[in-house]
Amino acid sequence: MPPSLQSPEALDPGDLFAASPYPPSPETPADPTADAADLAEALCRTYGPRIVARVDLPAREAHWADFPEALDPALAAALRARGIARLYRHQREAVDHALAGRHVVIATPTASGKSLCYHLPALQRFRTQGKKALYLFPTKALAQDQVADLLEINRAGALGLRTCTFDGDTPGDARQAIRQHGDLVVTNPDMLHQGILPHHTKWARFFENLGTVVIDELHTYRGVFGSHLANVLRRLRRILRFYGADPTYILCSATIANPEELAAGLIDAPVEAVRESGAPQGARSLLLWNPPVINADLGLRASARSQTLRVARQAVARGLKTIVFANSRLETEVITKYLKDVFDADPRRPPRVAGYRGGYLPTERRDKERKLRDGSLDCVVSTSALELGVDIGALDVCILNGYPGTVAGAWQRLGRAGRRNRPALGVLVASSQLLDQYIARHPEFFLEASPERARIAPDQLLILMEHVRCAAFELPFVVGEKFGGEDLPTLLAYLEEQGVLHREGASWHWIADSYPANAVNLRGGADGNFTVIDVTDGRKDVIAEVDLSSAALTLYEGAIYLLQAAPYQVERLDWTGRKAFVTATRADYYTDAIDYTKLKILDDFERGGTAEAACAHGEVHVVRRVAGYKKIRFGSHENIGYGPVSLPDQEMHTTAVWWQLTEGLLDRRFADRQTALDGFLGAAYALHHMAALLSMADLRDFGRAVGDGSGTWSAVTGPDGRGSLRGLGGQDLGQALAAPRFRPTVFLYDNQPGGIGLAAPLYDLRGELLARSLSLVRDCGCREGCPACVGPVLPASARGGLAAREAALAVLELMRGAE
Amino acid sequence: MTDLAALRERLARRHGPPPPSGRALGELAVRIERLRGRAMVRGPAGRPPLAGALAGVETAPGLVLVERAYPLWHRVGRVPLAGLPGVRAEGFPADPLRCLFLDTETTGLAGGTGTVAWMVGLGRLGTDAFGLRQWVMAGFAAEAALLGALAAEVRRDDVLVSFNGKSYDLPLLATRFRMHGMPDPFAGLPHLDLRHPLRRRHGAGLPDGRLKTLEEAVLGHRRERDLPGAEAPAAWLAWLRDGRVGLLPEVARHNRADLLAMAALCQCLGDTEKITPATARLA
Repeated sequence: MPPSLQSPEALDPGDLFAASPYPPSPETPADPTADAADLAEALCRTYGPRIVARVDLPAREAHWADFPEALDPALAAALRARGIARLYRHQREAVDHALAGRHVVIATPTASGKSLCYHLPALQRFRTQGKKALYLFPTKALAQDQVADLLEINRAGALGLRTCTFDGDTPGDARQAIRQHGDLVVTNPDMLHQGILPHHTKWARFFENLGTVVIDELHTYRGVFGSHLANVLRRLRRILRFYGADPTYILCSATIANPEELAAGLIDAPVEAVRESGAPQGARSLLLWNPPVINADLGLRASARSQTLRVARQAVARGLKTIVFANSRLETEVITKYLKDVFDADPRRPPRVAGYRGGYLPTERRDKERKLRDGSLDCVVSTSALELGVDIGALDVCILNGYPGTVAGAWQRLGRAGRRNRPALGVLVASSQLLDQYIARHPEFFLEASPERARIAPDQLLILMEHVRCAAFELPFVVGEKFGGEDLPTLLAYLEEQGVLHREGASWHWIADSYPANAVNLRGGADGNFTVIDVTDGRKDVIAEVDLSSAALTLYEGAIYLLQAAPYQVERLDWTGRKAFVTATRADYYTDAIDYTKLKILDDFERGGTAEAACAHGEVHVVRRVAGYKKIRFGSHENIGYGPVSLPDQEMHTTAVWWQLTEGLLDRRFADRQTALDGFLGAAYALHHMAALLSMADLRDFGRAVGDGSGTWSAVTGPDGRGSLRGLGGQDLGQALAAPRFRPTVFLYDNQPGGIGLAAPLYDLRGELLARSLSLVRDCGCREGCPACVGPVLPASARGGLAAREAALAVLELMRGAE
Repeated sequence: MTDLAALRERLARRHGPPPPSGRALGELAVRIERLRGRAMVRGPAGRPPLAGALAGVETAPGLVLVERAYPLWHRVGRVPLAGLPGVRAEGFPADPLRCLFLDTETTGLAGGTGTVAWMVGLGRLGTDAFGLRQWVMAGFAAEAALLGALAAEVRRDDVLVSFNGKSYDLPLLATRFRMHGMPDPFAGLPHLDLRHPLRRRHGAGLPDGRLKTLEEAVLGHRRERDLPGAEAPAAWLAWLRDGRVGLLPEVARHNRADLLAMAALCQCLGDTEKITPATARLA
């Protein structure tokens, strides 16, 4: 069997060790003096050539400031009782802004004491003016962590602040007391949106006296979630105006390029920024690690995973608390399994290694967080789920198995390792993916680049409409009112036509017997999560939750679903009931979905280029179907079979940028259309990655497809490494290759229904995008094409004709005519 | 695309040409339509006077007051209203003239700030009759007047009597008063919600605890041609949208029947009277 093209890592000898049964690991006694700096030295000595860049950040001293003079004496005493006798400089700065009534955003690194920046003003205003505060956290878990601090300050000083968490778990009888008497209410955007704003009259007392609004983890509010939150905050402000309140907003963010812009966009008001941290920091080293080349022709390197495992084993064996970040749930499970084979082979001992990701149940996650904090776990393997501020204590070593896709994401994860007084080590292991290799070749890009901008599009029409509905439910709209950037009377007239609003004189009233907030999910995908139910031996246990977008790719019947590295097989999927029934299995393989995407152009907003080579952006209809799956053996990565999948198509309208070339142009340039098609697939690969880089977006924010623009066929890479034309069900449409009209088109589409505003700016960047993609493919060190330029390919000898890289170059050059 | 063109035209007719500054009306509607949904048709306008149709009087612009008085010998099933002064039950005032019976008809059950009580009926026992007053809004603009009329009706020593009012009618009215920045006149009044005591006493063996069920089982009274309460929202909507009086008189009758049933059912709360479904039916 030829090596699977989708997994160039199949040839990786580094993985072979994982396939063989392990001898129980020698119990390396933890050396109490060994620290992360020693490990860094050892790695550099042993693996010098693999380390393409090393950055040492010296320990940083603390910069202090005194308490503000006007600080309430009881509050100051409470802080002193908690061991806080003065503030870091940035804390003082933030507190000064907030107490002067200026909205402020704090964007300092992880563990710099951000929460005090908002606890202090909130407490001060409560003590001196009797003002209330609203805290918003993206998740319940984060809320609990941050409030623990506050509660201790409050208790230490007997400050009398009544703090309440108001979320889905708050019992009904407690809710009224919270609304009436809560001084500080901690909640999340979803609850504010569905549970508080639509019932604002019950919160009248709270809103009338609201002095401070805190929004933590600001950087998570990007894209769809951020666009929704901006609208929820528009609704909040509208209601606060009704009650005559004008609170000060304090926002906290991890490192992003544009904290002021994002904060100002969310709250629609100017914001002061505090960016310099005054907190101390132990010395930190960062290694950029590129796995060794094992096949120069194919541009194949050893897998990132093999290198990650190597570093993780050394770290854990040295007794260093270690976190490994993987970029997918599957990868998380696989790495967990391998590490557990090494360190948790003895079932009589408590486990040292654990996996952590979104699908686990909340209780399970809380348990792991606790074990990490108290040190009973040595190593955790996580998806981005632990990137946020969940309190897991300080760790020594952080390993990134592959570039997470964004600069901010990488730094956020790396920030997980680092203590105030101990050295820490971060290792970014490059995978064979294009962006990873781009960074390995241009370390300065990563090390010096400004982190990404977090973008929101609060006026995205679908999102805006949903919130205009919700807002109309909350308070009637009146003529002359503003809400968002689109023409409000038109939106209201539309809703009137829909029968949910009634216009009477100068106002629009909600008239439908429905509760619009319940129909809007702030995190996108209104359809809710799937529950995974273990039915092994007549059991009926809910073991995990999976969101809709990943369900189609992970829960089809026959899929192997990995949980805590234990394989379960999906027996039955109830799509409408959102349930997957699984049984424990001993399968030695995992499954990988095969999906096809079809695009149809609905409308072009702008068009450039020539009659033969055009570039445009506009609206498209996307249909995605999971047609089957591959079975892949653990360890060897052999493809050992296929299975069919029957699931509903996922459809959406969104915006896209596309490049289209005519058959005339292609027939003059290429000896055969097959080669041209191969070139399109390679060009699409390069364009997609460079687009993510230039837009400073996540790779997944864009979808890519090669099709004909009218939804007839789409091109995929077949098992022979060549492009082939397929229908939505995977049927071969190869005859279209010879049709008189042949217009292959590369699409990069915004991966959110309705689009979140990525396509238009990308169209404006089309010149630079093509130039960069061209130089990327032209200057790649490989011979015929590799995952770092045009995607994984077979050598030309196995393909006949032009090498994949040359074909892609030719297509990109023709596209340049479209500028 | 013809539907969309029609929608665009309709929108343009109703609201005049698109504003010169903003995005074209039609274009926006087309974008929304394409992204998600379909349009609903709205009917013509033209309104007959509501007061006449309900046999009431307009006491403020858009606010109709319907008054009815029932002689004390009026019976609901086997129970005459005249028995109210004899009621001795927990929560029921010694002086039954203090009772203020309350029932609302609303735009729906969704709750929250987007639901309106467009008809509010109050009932009060007088020395020679049981008087009902119902206020009906002809449109949203009359809501402040309606709330004001309610406030004027409440006396400081009133005892509210309702059926499920603690969890439904009163919170809803509290929201409406808050929305208009008016103090809630009902807040703090003693409140006898008949739902739970009646259910405890007579609920055994009944299919559900609804007012109508209790009325049939306990009072032996079957309403003729009664409009189900759930149809009230649609009836007002039809009036608002199309100016059709339609079922509004039926809703008003239903609201009155509810208030009368409450008054009669008060007499079945106490321990002294032993009324079972069986004896009620015999009577």
